[in-house]
Amino acid sequence: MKKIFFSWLEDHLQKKTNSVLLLCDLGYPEALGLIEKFPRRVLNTGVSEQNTALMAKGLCSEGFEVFIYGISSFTLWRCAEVLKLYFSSEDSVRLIGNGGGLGYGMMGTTHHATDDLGLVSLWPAWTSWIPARDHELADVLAMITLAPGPQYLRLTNNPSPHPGAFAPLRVLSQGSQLTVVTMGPLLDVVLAATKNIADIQIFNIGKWPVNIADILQHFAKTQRLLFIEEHQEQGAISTQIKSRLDGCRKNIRVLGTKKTDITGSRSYLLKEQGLDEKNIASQILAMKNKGHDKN
Amino acid sequence: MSANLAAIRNDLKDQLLTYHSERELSHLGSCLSSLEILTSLFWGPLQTRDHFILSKGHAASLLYIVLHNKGLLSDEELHASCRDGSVLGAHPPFLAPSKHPWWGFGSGSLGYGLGLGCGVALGKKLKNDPSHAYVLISEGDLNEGSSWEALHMAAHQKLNNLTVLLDHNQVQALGDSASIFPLKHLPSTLTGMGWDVFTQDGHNLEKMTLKTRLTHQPRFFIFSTQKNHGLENIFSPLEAHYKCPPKAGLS
Repeated sequence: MKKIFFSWLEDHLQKKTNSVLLLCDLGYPEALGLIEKFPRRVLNTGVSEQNTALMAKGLCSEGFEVFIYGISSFTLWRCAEVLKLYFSSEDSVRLIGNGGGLGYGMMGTTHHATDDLGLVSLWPAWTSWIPARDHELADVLAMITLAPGPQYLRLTNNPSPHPGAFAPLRVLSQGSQLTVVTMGPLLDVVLAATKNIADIQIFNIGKWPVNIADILQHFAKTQRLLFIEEHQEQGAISTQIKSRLDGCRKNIRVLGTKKTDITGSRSYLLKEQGLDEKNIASQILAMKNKGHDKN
Repeated sequence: MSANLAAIRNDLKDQLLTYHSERELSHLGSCLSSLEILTSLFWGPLQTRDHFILSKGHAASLLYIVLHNKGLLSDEELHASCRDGSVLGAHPPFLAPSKHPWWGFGSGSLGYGLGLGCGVALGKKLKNDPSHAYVLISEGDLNEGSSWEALHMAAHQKLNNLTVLLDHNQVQALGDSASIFPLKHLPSTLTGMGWDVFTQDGHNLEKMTLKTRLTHQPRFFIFSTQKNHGLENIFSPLEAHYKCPPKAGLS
């Protein structure tokens, strides 16, 4: 997704002369070309996330649209207070976080962002975008740059062959026995896991927050809900949706990530966390066939 | 000019003492140590399009009084400030009464004014806007790592439209700053980074000047000040951070 982002941004900077990119010393090698091409509007602000976020606010106040590019975990957590305090619906800041979820796999837990969406959801002015597939990114960026207020984009690679346009909410298959709700690249893992499982609804969330009523109406048919997220359960989108469901809806389960010190590739870590195709299929079948009454 | 400035300063000081006493508001010392600095700036080089950013947000009441005197805050708004129901609290608001650049940004969490000033100054340069950004900071601001990130960046980007004013009153919340976060190295460190550094007496209106030759480097003024300035017989510098004179004692 990184390459697609920089390619899109090069075109965007060409067209939109009040756009600025601040790099948190990341983006090799694509960023180097942009610095060369737009030396005034593409700045490497170094490994200084707080100052980068503060500069972005200053630039926004002068009428600029500001993209910040870095690793999700650092560009959010290292400057969380600045992002919380200073950005309002008037600020066109677009925080591009590479390595959302377990995207930075082997780099270790410092680089993992399995709490990013929960953090951003604490700030009312902010919107999070979670594209599922690489080819959706250009459409997502086009929506982001038109959106008012601060936007967070979670980049997690997924060169999926599946076609289909991005939408903030989408139903990938219809069914009445179980609704599976997922986000980001896990969508394709869920689709693969369910290719031989009939009568389940697969629902994908690509943007947060959205009107909760729009989501809940999709859950009307099924009484069983399974959330599958590359995010820890605390603060997760599933938790926020669960809190809005009525008390009689007891058949809800969340498959999310848990704290671990183990490193490995993203696919390895997903498997360790039970977010691989085989375990997801098994969990879906178990819930579909037996129900889940203990939650 | 100096006589006029002195009269303005005296008037602001009277208003400040009354303001704090009426509200039994702390942080008077933070305002007293910045009083002459802001008098020199707002009745000196500050232009309408320039930005002023109060990073040491605990001097908010002084900012309110200055902006009231400059016509940016009504009598009613000033009267209501730092009282129940006002957005103008003991630190500058994030939702200011107007978008005038002298309101700067909200503050209260230290260490952010320098980075905000960097962004504003950079934005002005990108727009070929000749106006300037001034940031008033405290020693507490310089305890924060974010300030040092910004100091490096401003020098590296040669933001010569950025001026930092340090109110070096040598006291922070629990005592002498020299014993908490010493800044003896500041002039040489800043010079080494690429700042133009000026050291002045921050209470001597006659000798203070913000009009220096502009170079390609950002400017950093270190103003030696006192937190209990003018109230030495009543409070120690540390006490001046927390206490204010009783209303009855003002006369």
